[in-house]
Amino acid sequence: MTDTAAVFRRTLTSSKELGDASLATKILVTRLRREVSSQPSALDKAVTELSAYFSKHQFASKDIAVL
Amino acid sequence: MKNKLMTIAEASAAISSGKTLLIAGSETVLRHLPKGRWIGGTSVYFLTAEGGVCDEDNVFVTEFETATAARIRHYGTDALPQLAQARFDHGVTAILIPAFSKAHAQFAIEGAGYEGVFDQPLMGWITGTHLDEVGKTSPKVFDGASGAVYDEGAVLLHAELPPQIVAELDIINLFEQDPHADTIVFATDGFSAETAQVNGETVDFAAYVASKGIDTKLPLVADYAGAMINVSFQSVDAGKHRVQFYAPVIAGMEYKLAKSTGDYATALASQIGADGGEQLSCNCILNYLYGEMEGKKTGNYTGPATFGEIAYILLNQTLVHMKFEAAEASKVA
Repeated sequence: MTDTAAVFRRTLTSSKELGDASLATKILVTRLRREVSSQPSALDKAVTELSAYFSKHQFASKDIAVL
Repeated sequence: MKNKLMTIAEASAAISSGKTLLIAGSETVLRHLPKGRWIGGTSVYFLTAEGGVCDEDNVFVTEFETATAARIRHYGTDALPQLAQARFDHGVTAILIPAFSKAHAQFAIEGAGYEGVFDQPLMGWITGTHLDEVGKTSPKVFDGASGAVYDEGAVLLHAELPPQIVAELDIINLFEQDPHADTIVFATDGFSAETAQVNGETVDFAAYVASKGIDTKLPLVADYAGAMINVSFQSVDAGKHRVQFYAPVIAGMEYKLAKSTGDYATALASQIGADGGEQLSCNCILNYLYGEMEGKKTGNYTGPATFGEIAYILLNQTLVHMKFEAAEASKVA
């Protein structure tokens, strides 16, 4: 598992607030946390979705630092 | 971006000159505009530099000055999940959806799961009517390129930005959770609820709201990893054991009633400060009404007062704003 993937897993299984992250990141992470909470087996899929999001988003580097 | 309340003649001239525009106005006025690179939605309430106003004769126009290209699309409910497909590699999307339409409900409940919806700024609003016309006239959206008018689906304007410009979409919410309020959780997604878990106990939610004497001008607020997201009350019918909302409650989210803000207009002006003059923005019709904003100045964010705001997802009682800035500036912000 890469370091980034580990950070994503930790983010999606915690309830940490994301302070200065963009609105998009906050809403997406909240949606994914809810999915993982109701179906823990969905964690890998959620990590994949979050990784894809950060690979495209213009504020990715700033937001990843907040996770 | 430039924001301005314009006459039909002024807006027509802007369209004819080839500008990329997002336009709000009455259906009658929007139908008078020529074809061009614009989308529009019905709204007759505006927050202008001079204060809140109901205006059925003029249109509120936002110009995407930096757009290098634009694509205009209408999506019916079947195609709505693909709303991100036609966007540019680098750009933003404006979206307008008629209130009370199937698309309104569908986007509100399912939109956060649409593919790629968070990958670029998606900003817009739910179009409405004069409040005296609710239930008599359907809200509309306009595809200015084809001249088509719809009361269903969503119309989108994808704008391409030059590489050195980035857009930042954010919200200003007057409300935060009252930390002393009960914790409310719903079992299913939806615009209405009959029951809820309040502090872990299942209750008749309409009876709970009535018995607590809850001020339904205050929204329920959920904490999305630090972003406060509102769901506004539409009606409480204790007889039918049903509470209606202006946006869907989401199953499993923890809601609390908002803390009172005191005077709306003063609170909003205080939060806004001096920002906003050149940003694309919209505010909620409920803020306009409850804040008695007609004639009141509420800072520099100007735009329509709408039947729902969109910043990636449907929002209530929230000011949505989007600014463009140099890419380098955003990295150090």
